[in-house]
Amino acid sequence: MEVKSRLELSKVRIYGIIAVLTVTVFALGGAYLGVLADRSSLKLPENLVFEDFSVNVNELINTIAVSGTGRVSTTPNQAILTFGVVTQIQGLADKECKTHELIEDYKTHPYIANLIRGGKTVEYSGDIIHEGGISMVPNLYTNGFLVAGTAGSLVLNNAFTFRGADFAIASGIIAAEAVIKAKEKNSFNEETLSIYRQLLNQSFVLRDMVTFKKIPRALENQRIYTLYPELLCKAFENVFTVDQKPTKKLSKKVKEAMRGKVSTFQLIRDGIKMVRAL
Amino acid sequence: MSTKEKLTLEDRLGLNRYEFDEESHIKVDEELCKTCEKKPCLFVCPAEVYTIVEDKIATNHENCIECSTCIIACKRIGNGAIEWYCPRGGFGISYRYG
Repeated sequence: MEVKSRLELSKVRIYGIIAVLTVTVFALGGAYLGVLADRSSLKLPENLVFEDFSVNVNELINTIAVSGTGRVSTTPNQAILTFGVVTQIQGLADKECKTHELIEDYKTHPYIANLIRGGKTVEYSGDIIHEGGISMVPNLYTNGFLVAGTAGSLVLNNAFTFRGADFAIASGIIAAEAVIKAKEKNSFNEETLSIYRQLLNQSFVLRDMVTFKKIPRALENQRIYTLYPELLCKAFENVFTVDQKPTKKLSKKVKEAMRGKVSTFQLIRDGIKMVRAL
Repeated sequence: MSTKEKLTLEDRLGLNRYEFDEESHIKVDEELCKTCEKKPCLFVCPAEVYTIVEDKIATNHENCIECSTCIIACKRIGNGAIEWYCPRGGFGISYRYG
C-alpha cells in the first residue's frame, strides 16, 4: 500500500513539472485568433495574506483538454483580487467547452478555493487578448488619431513572459513624443503622425515583436498542449513503475508511448520549429 | 456566497452594473447563421449572449460584457454572421473594478 502511494506521488510530481511548463507556454501561447480571458473580481477580507498564486491549473484544464492558464492580479490599495482563465478561442470551439463554466471550475477548484477563502465575487468580466504578434498589429495612425497599447495589439507572448503593460506605457510615451513633434509642425494629418510608427519601430516594443514573430504560429500547434505532456507522463510513469517483468531502456519506453500517435520525424520537426521560434 | 460554491452565470452577471439599451448592438445574419455548422458563439461567449431558440440563434444583448470575442470567433471559425457594434454612448456595461 505504501509503495503504491509513493509511486503515485512521483507521478504527481512529474506531472506538476510538466504542467508548470505547459502553463507558461499557454500564458504566451496566443492563438492566432486571439485569446479570451474570462475574469471575476473578488472582494477579499482586509487581513488577507497573498499566498503563492502561481497555481497549477492544468489539472483542471487538462480534464477538458482546452489549452489555457489561470492568472491572478491585484489592485493597489484595495483588497481586490482579479483572477481569470485564459484560453484559446479555437480550443473552446473545438471542445465545445463553455467559458463561463471554466472560470467557475477554476474558482471552486480545491486549491484555488482554499487560497481565496472568505472572498466574495464582486464583478464578472471578459476580455480578448490579441496574441497574434507583429502580423496582427493594425495601422496605428491616421488623420488625428494614434493607437497605443492593447488597442493596437501591442501584446507579446514569447512563451516565457507575457508582456502588455510595459508596451502600453512605452507606446503611450512614444505617442506623446509623436504628438509633440507634430505640434511643432502644427499639422496632425496622417503624414506627420507617421513619425509614431517610425519611433515605435526604433523602440523595444516593435523590435521585440519582430524578434518573436514566429511564436504565434509555433504555439498554434495543438500537440504541445495535449499530446506531448501526455507522452512525457506516460514515459515517466513507465520509468517509475517496477513490476516483476523484464524492464526496458528509457528510449524504448518513450518510443512505445509514441507509437501510433506521432512519428519521430514529426517530433523532431516540432522541436526544431519551437526552438527556432523561441 | 462562499468561494466553494459555483455561482450561476445569472448570479455573476447580476453583480455587474449595466445601463440597458432597448436597441440591440448585435445583429445576426440569419441566412449565414443557418449554414454555420460549428456555431462557436454558443461556447466562446462568456455571458451566454447567444443561445439556440427553435433552431435559430437568439441574442440576449443585455447580458453582453463587451469583450468582442464573438466577432473574431464568428469570422474565423463560423460564417461571419455576427455584426457587433459598440453600444450607444452612455449604454452598456461599466466596470467598477477594472
